[in-house]
Formats: sequence, C-alpha cells, structure tokens
Amino acid sequence: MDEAEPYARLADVYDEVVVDPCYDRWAAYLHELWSSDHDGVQTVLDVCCGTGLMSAELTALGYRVVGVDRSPAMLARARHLLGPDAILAQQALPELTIGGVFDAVISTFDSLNYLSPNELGTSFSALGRRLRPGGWLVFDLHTDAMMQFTMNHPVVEGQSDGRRFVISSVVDVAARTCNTRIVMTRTDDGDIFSEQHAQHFFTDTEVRDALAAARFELVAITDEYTHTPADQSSLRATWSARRLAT
Amino acid sequence: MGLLRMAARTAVVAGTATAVSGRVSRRQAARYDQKAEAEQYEQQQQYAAQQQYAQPAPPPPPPPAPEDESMAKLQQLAQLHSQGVLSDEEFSAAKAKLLGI
Repeated sequence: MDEAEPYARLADVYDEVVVDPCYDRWAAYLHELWSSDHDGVQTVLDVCCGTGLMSAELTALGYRVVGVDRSPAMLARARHLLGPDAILAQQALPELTIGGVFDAVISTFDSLNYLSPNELGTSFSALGRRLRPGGWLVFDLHTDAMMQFTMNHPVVEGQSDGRRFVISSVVDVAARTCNTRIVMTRTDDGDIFSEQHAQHFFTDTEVRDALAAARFELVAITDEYTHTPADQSSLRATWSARRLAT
Repeated sequence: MGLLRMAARTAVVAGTATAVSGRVSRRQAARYDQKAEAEQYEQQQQYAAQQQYAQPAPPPPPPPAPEDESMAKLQQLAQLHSQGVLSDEEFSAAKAKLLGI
C-alpha cells in the first residue's frame, strides 16, 4: 500500500470525496463580514488554500486573492482550478516568507489545527505582519465537541465517488491531539493509498491568548461561518479577529 | 483538511455502518447524550444541505441483530488490523469502543 505524505494522494480526490459544498456559503459570510469595514477589503491572503476552492469563490466575488499551501500536490490542483495568472506559493506555517500587505488573511477548513500551540502563536504573529492595521484574520478550528465526536467514532467507513474509505482516529485527550488515518481504495481497480494526518485541538484560552499576544482584537467566535455564536454543540468554530492599529 | 468532517458526515450517511460504535459509545458516555443529540441535529442539517449534491443513497439494509453486528464489525476490524490498515493502537481503541470496555 502506498503510504503517502499528507495530501500527496488525497489531493487527487479531495474536491470529489473530502469536502462538502460549503465554500460558497462560507465566502458569502466573509463577504458580508468584510462589508462592514469602511476601509474596504480588496486583497485576501488564503493561507492553506488547498485545492483553491475558497480562493475561487472569493475571486468570483471580486477579491484579489493570493494562495499559499504546504502541499505541492494541493497547489497543483489549485493552479489547475485558478488558472495560470493566479498567484500561488508553497509556504509552510509557522514560517511565512511571502511579502505584501493584505486587507484580510483567511485559513479555512481546520487547517490551523495542524499546528502545535506554540506554532499557532508564531503563525498568528507572522500572519499579522501581512495585514494592514485593522485588517482581518478569519479562520476556523475544531472544537471540543469535534474531539468528543471523534472519540465516539474511532473508525468510520464509507463509499463515495467510486472510492471506498476507512477513517480511523486516535484521540489523546490529555495531549488534545488526534491522529487520523485515512485509507482509500478505488473500487474499480483496487488502487489503494494511506495517509496519516496529525491535528491538535486547541483550548479556547490557547487561541485567545495567542491572538492577544500577536496583537489581534477578537471580534467573534461563531458556529461555522454563520452569525450564530459558537456553543458546546458546535463542531467547527469560526474565529474573526482584527489586527490592532498599533 | 476535512477528514474529521468527512467522518462526521459519513457517520450519519452510512447509518448502520457505524451504528454499533455509536450506540456503545453513547451508552458509555451518557452524560454526553445531550451534546450527541445536538451534534446529530447539526449533522442532519449538514446532511440535508449536502443531500442535493449527493448520489441517491441506496435503501438501508435491514438492521442485523446487535450481536451479529458487533461480531461482524469486530471481524472487519481484525481484518483491517491484520492487513496493516489499522495500527495496534488504532485497533485496540476501536475494539475497546466496540466492546464497551
């Protein structure tokens, strides 16, 4: 069986099998959120842009988007989707070497859960340096409810788009980590691969402290790109913050 | 990524496929019942939103007897383990969940 780097093989089936059609709703939420900014939001840095689905939605809404991601395979998909003129770069948080000043930085679909608590703080600081004063940082993270859900479902099997998949997760409650293995088999020819993804469940306090230390003002914590405040049942919380002026 | 979301989605869509682990874990953690209900509602909402894009689901097979279901699931896990799909740690965790120990 092919044991691949995270996303090296998943990239090929990501849009068809992994994601739901959520990005248009998420983009509409961001568009509305940013419309309240009198200085206007025109430029967006999409951190962990993956296959570029979110960048594509925001571009369609008129934003100028730059995408960065750790995975070359995912960036290749993004290039295919967004075309030759799109600005895309390979970057791995917590390092961020790309230049420029943006009105907003986003990181969607629990991408930041791949970082350790220390790396989260370093990443926020790096992202803050790419924002104008008052610029927006919006990202989503898994919640404690998601940690609980994952513990309750250590093995999940299913079938989608001609692929059979097994997702097995080991949650370490004390360390607040989750190792997720996905094994995917193409049903027609048996082609099989496996990837292991390691994520961290941050506490509320960890995220708040990291934002404050990186000079961000927290605006809202809502349930998955809606205006409903996140509560104990939220599986995904969307955090909105703004870079302080000084 | 979305693997956990994919798992959350599948746990509802697949229905019987994860019914055993779901039932056992609910019994184990009765105090999470309320949350589980809320989660289930949310997943149903997500599922409903996704339905229009999804392939029509095949009719669910008649639910097998709980004992058989547990055994079948256990055998499946053992097979995945012996194939090297599940690590020792993953297999133990899944087995413990399934048996409610």
